[in-house]
Amino acid sequence: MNPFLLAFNLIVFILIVVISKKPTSLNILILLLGIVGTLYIINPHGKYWIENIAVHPKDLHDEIIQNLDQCHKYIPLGVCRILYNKSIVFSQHLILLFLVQFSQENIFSFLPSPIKPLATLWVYVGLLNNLYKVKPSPFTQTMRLWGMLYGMLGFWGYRTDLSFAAIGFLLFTTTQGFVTSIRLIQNIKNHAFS
Amino acid sequence: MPFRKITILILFILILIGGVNRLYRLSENPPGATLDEISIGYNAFTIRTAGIDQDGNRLPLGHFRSLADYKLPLQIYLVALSQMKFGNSLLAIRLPSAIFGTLTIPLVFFLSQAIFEKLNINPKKNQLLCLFSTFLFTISPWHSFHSRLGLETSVGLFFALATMLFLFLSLKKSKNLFVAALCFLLNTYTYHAYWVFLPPLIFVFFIFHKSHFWLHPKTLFLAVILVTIGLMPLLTEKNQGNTARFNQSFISSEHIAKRKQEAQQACGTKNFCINTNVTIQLINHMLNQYVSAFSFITWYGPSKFDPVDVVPFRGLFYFVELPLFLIGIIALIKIRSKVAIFLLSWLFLYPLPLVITTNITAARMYQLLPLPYIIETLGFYDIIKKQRYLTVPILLFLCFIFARFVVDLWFIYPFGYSRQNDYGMIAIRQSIDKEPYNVWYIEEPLFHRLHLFYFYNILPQYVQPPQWSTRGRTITQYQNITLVERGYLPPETSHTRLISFQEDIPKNYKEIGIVPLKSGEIYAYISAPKGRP
Repeated sequence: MNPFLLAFNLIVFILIVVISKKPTSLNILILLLGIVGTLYIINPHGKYWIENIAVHPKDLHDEIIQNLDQCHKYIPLGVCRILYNKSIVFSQHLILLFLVQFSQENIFSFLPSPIKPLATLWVYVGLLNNLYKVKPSPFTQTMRLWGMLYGMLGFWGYRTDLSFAAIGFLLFTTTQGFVTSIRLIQNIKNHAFS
Repeated sequence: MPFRKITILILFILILIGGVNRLYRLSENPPGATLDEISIGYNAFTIRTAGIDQDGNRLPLGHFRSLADYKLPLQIYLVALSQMKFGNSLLAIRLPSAIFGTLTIPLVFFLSQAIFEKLNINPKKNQLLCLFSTFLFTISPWHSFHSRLGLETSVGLFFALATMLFLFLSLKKSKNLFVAALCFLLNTYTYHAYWVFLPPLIFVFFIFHKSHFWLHPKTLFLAVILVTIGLMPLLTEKNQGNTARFNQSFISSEHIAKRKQEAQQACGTKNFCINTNVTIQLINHMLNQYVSAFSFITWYGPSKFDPVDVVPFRGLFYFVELPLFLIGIIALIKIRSKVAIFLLSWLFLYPLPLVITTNITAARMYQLLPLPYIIETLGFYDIIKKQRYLTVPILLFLCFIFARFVVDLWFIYPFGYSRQNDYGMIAIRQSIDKEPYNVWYIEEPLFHRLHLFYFYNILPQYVQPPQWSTRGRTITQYQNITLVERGYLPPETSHTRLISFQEDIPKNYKEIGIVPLKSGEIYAYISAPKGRP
């Protein structure tokens, strides 16, 4: 357990609580830059991550060119260019990187394996519970924002130990998910046997 | 509510689009033929011509040994029917799956209709929403691709969905329960994953509608009798296919022991390691499998499946579906009706076949379909209720993504992934057929014996047993084709041709050609004795 990262979690939590009361894009951007910058400074691996693992647009570019060549053998180039539109492919890639942060392999990578899958399942329920609320409380808003930022850590690259950077978020969401799943089971029981 | 003409027209167009995407160039794409497909084809061929399976059992109603994975019989009999028209070809193996895959499209429409009616959605919107979920299913990358494989999954899905549809219809007319029972039986004879998934889901359905079924005890009793009688061939099977399949696929003690050993190594010299307990390892494995079934990456990300299972670099669904799915789930939770809970039960029960097996394959997750599309439709409905102007952009974007999938599937996948689909074996056969007067020796890792038996119409009784000689071992032989072990030295005649790995070409042989893959890679080398014209 890295004490710097624990302290970092606490700082991020306080900042997000402050910002969730006035979540403008500029505030979020400042926060995001702050997180990346702090991680870069406090973590000895930060520089390595950024230089070696982060998304390389060149790889994507090569893949697009390859697909365009193959597509062009059968279909007019103009149509192929629309289908393999660079900005769409790149956005798709970013969304996938965002999702990777929530995948079973990444989430709770620091937990021992017997607890990990159950905790992961509760996080999923907790995330859904957060999204479900139409009139979110400041706490839910905070969690949404923190979740979004956690997902955005994925843009940085495929790295399992990044999840520790958001341990606070994960623990809060797990607790929420645990409570929600118990409520859900009670609900199903009531409906099934009523 | 009767169908509007426009609904029928759109449904017809969707079936047409789905049909073309599932049937077009069926024998060429996927480019090769997997051993599972060829094994189904070979057993169908022996049943059609001699009335026996590959082991000589007469018209089995239980399991076929196949590749020691004990396949269920329905798909094999369907392929035998298809072979009556198309002979021993790849098309004949894949056609039943593709046809049932296409027929599942209207089935999804009717099932969505039954579900949306129960969810009390505005009847005027109901048909439109059914068309939307059918549209999503039609363009599904997972279902489109799997329907093209000559495996039992698509036929199984058809009968599983038919069972569910007729269960819903039995709430209106109780006699439909017999049709549901019949579809359930046919499904049981198709694919093992449904053995674990469908009965619990049907149980949930019965629990939710028990008051209805208690009103028709006679129908219920007769349906149960029908299912029991129908299951007799499987229950009384002599060749122990059920047990063999269980031992082959399900979590084995070896698998758990291996995990335990890994955990012990990871634990090192610590005195107390909870991880090394066998029961905990078993629970951990099951939980891991269960959670993996809901992984965002498994569903939407670049695929971690074998390229034989799904189109590479794709998930099981389009990534753009994710927002619709999340909004749909939220909408479903808000509804709080019995049908909503039934749909959630479907979602939570679908990983059961994964939980009790050792690895994750897209085929074992197939029973999830078309649930996400029904949920996404609820999400779509929730969006357009508030922001109607988003309808056209959402539809257009989905069409765009589908167009890219079609190009990937038809023009990029067959070339880039011909190695993974065992295209090399097809290419070897083409090389042999070009020069049928030569005497061909092929190293078996490059050309599986089932390819030889199937494409050259060899019945089990004519299969040559392995033979040892000073030159090495021949595995089997048919007319001018002999399968040999690696390192075999064929007799040197002017017509001798050896298809082998490059490093296995004998010293007194010279390379005279190659067997290319569609991707341009070299699959095998053709060589002939030196100094022979």
